[in-house]
Amino acid sequence: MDNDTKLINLALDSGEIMLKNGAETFRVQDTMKRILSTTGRDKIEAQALSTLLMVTLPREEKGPLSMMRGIHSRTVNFHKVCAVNNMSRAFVSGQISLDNALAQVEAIRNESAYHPFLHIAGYGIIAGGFSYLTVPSILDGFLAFLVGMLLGVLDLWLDSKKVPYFFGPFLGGVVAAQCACWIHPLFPTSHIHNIIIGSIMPLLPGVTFSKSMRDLLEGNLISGYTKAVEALVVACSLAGGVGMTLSYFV
Amino acid sequence: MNEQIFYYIVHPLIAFVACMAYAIVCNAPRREIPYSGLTAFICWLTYQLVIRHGGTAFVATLLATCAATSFARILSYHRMLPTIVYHIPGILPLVPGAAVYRCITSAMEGGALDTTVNILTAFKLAGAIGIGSVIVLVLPQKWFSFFPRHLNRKDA
Repeated sequence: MDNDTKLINLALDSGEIMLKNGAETFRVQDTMKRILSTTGRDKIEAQALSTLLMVTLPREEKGPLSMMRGIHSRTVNFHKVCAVNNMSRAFVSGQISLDNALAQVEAIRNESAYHPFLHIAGYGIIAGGFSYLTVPSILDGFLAFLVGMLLGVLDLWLDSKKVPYFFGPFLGGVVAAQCACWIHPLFPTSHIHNIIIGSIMPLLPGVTFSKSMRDLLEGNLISGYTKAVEALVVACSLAGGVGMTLSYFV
Repeated sequence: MNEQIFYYIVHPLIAFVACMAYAIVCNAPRREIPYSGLTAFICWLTYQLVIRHGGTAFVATLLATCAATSFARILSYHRMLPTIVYHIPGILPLVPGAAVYRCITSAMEGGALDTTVNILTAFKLAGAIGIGSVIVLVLPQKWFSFFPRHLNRKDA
């Protein structure tokens, strides 16, 4: 591979990792443009939609070079976003070479997340904490903590399966509502509402929605619009899961 | 327990812990997790201050988002990392979970008017988060750079 192809691959790899792991569209485009600008050519172009990356490097002597890459899965992993950000900063300022940068991106791609136990406990603490914030009842908070841990297990299990993106929230809603309805008779002083409100908190598409607003108002209309629709679909499937179960029980 | 201590200290502390947990779920870098929690602490403290002094939920959400986003930008300059690492866990307490739940229950009970009102409320709160973030995010970086950069880091 010649240097230009390597550079475009570096830009696409960095962009792919950032977009897959929840960076904003603006940051992805900016990072790819900065990486390409190290060639010193003008009229470089880097575009990021929510499922697609496109970069173009106009070369007068050998003809233009353009590549595109599809993004098929989206999760949230800030560690990878930060690592790619630091890598691209070091590469643009000339601290590391192109081959070194490519190796670093490959290493970042394969980095592991936190221990699954921490992930599950995190889900539980979010659910318990927000249940307590909504209505200060320690029993409800504790029950929401247990349901939240179950949702964490479910999330990890679904991660290893190939399921459509809206299925996780739907199943999460069903499980949260089922658990709340089954637990309630065991602890008659608990409230189904508080347990469900707390435990659906980690599943709500708040991140997607706020990012979509940001994209829309920054002028990235296509990704803003698609993210808003994604947030709506996720919220509706979550509501569908909870509503379906509740209408059966109540 | 004194009511003010409860709402101005215990509540934000719970938000602090819950949002540190959210930062773990989002795989934030290990050293940034307490800072994400601190953003949420400030966010929920602002929310409670406005709500307890007679503000509506919309105004409280808007102001709390502005406070959290400003703090996230200050931290982002200081720690030299993207703003979202602090911003997204920081605004999590404002996500209208209770409003969404009320939409579900009112839709189940079949009251069309109630359902519409609840959906609009949820959208209004979500919109407040969006607008509050964007207002602060478009301000020039200079206004948020009063903490010096944290330069002696290994990975920076």
